[in-house]
Amino acid sequence: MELTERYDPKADAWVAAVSGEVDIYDAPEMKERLHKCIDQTPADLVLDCASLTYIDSTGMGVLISVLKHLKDVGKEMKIVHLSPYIYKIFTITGLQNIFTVEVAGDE
Amino acid sequence: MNETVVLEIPAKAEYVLAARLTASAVAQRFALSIDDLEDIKMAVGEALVLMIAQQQEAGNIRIEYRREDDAFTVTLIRDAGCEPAPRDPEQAELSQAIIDALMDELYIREVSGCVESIGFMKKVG
Repeated sequence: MELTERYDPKADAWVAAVSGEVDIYDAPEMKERLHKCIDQTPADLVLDCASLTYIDSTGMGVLISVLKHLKDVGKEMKIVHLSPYIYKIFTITGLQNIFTVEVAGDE
Repeated sequence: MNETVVLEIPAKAEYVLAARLTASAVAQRFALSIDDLEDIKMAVGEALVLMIAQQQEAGNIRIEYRREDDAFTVTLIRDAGCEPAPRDPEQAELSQAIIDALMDELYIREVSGCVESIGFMKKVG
């Protein structure tokens, strides 16, 4: 997994890009880094998943915990460029109902 | 065609990638479709989440990938008992729901709070 995160002051939002595979091994690091962003500067979060090829349920759990954190501070989260296959997994788990998601190719 | 590939990994998070990659490689060798391949890879990952996230004692997990005439089956067996650790029930439900949805058959054998084995099957053309 590769994760880059930067704060965009013009948009007042965090833009994070995650690539590769997020699984039970990588999920704790992703959780720590995204929560740290919100603690540092509470702002909306755009998660760019254009190069995300796999995410398991522990990674999805991280996304849920980050969303809860953002809601607690009155901010929003948007997931963009999600692959159609991972979106299929989102629909199986019902996550498409709690996240704002843009699927790659649909936007 | 009945062929089996066996992989044994330490029951640790860092080796889940190896099991997924093997699933992918074996499924490719058996000429499964991309969607079937992705489903099997996903199910292997979730099965290992169920087995690894709940244990304190690390042993090994033996994974058998088997191609039959009209199905692809995966069996994961722990080689020793485990000391169950507190786990998030929502997380476990999520893992099970994913495997259930992607595979045609699923069994989970749990003894005293320890997932000892998981098996699943996907029908293939």
